[in-house]
Amino acid sequence: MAKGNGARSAFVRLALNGHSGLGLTLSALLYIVVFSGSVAVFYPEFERWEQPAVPEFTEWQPGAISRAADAIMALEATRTDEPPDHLFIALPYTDMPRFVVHAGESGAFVDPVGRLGAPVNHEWTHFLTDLHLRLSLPSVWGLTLVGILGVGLVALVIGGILAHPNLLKDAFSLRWSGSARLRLADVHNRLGVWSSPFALALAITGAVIGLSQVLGFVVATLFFEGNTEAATESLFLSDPKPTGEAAPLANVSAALETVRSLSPEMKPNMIIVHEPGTTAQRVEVGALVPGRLVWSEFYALDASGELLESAGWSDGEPGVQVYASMFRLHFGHFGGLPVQLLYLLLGAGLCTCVAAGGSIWLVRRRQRGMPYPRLERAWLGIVWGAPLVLVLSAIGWFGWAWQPLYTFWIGLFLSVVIAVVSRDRVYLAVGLKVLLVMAILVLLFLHVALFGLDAIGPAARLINGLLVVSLLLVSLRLWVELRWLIRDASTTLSLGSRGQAADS
Amino acid sequence: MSSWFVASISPVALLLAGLLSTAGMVLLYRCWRRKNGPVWLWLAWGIMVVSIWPWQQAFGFDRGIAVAPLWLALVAFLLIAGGANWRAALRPVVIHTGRARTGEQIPWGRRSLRWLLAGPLCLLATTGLVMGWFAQSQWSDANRLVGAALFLVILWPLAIVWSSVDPRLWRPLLASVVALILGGCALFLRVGG
Repeated sequence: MAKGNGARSAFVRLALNGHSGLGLTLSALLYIVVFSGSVAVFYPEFERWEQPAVPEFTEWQPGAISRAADAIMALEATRTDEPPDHLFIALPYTDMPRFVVHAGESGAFVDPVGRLGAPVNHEWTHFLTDLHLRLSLPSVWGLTLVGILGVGLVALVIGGILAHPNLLKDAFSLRWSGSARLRLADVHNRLGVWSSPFALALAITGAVIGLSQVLGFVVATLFFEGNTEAATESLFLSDPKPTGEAAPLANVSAALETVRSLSPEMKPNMIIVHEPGTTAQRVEVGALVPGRLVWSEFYALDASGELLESAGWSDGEPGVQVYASMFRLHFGHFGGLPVQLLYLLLGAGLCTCVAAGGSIWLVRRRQRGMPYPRLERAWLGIVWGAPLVLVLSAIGWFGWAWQPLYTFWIGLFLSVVIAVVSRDRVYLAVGLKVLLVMAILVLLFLHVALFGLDAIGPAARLINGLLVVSLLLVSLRLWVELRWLIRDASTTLSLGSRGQAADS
Repeated sequence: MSSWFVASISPVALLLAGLLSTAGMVLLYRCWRRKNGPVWLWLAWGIMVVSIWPWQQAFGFDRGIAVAPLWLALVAFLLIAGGANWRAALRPVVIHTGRARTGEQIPWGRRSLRWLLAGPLCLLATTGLVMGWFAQSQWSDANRLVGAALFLVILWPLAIVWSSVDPRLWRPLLASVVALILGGCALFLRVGG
């Protein structure tokens, strides 16, 4: 029995070491991906928040789609002689009540009549989604790196459960009265265990999405003579081969009517014309499928609106349906605002879990007499610096049109450098939170100053409401820490100067 | 504006699902607090498993499975938060720097070898195995492609965990080599043979 227990505890120790080592290796990048992903759950709402004055509606006049398509093609023709590869039309519906058309580099909002309005400008939201999907790196490299982080997260969840010998015994423990390490461990373990199905679902779908390009390339090289399109054509509708011969633009309204009559229960929400205005053109209509996780069903139609084929995302082979379901499962876009809020909450829990995981390792090093004070401060610089510079990137974009990419990464770099060279970890933690509170306030005021009443209108009230909630939560945390500082200033400071640190 | 995704949800099934899931989790919490016997524990887990059915009735088959764990996690966090001593949480904790211990240090070489095994070698082995399966599988292209992606993102993390946990590095190393050879043979028979 004793030998069995010994072997078990040795296994747990090894599992814990493996979990710590892997977690430490991935922690900073994983934290940025998880944090940006939690925020990006609301990317359609951020797009609306960025341009809150755009008219919103869900019904449009007959002929509006064709008028808008012709208008955007004409606009693109004034920009370049090259015909665009695609014409994209996003139809308004309750969750995204905006009518948008894109052709080549031109994009504009459309009114219910079909007239072009303001140009589409979602630079900050694009930065946010790029940060999550690719860590702002070039496409394949970034996607692959984030995919590998997804694999790492799967390994961390499995390893973490193996390293947790008292899974049921401690299922609901949260011992605030214990030592700093026990507090952090309880927070890390409770969040980790109960959100493990959520974390696994996100990590697996994220890893598949991230690694799909590389995997497609490997499969194509081995089995399809290097033809990636042939390797993946069973999952997608194929693109037509360009002819370059001009033809009248496809009848998109007829295509939409064909799909509506085929599947009245579905909700068509996008139309893509491949090779528009040429003899090769083909129309693709995407329709939301009620009660399903699949992203959409896609129908291919000819220029006159006759059905050619469907992608089978809602009723095709199991592999196609599983693949088509990964995106909504990953993004949390399958149950309206309640599910998005649950994703935000659990995503914030996952961020806290990653942050606490790193802190546990640092506290353990300190308690063993081998502290890494600079690393402790650098970790604070990442954990609290990332939300701060994300808000600053939005302020920079709205206020001075600064590229959010540079504001975020240069800001995060500076945050870590300042954290490393700063002297006191406690003041650093408080300072970062003060700056975050101030930054959120500035962003809110800036949004109101720029957009007036539209800042509290239907397009922006959710994001601004969430900003107010986060402002209150960070302020509450700040108030607790300031209370510690004021009440125990002498103790904390004298302890701090002797190489000890208050837990913040 | 209400969501299009919410419009198809059955409110009665949603209410039943929420009540059942919450009841299961609360029962589990009571078992944990009062150290009740295994019957209550199994009953709690049973109720939570059964609650997946009304979730599916409310949201649809696949959406129901996706929503059920989210709700359970939320209820668990609320119970944990409700049972915690928040007054104690407001007290600062000072982390004392301990005396330096001359603990057992894993040599750098061995540590690097472990990560080399868990990272590139396990990736190579699992990719080889998955491609071998892809080559020999009779499934359609779509099913093989998605199956291969899922196998890879599940097998590789399992291999990482094994490589980082096993004190005898030769065991995961040997398994990786065997997986690579098996996958290579399966691939060769299809592509090269």
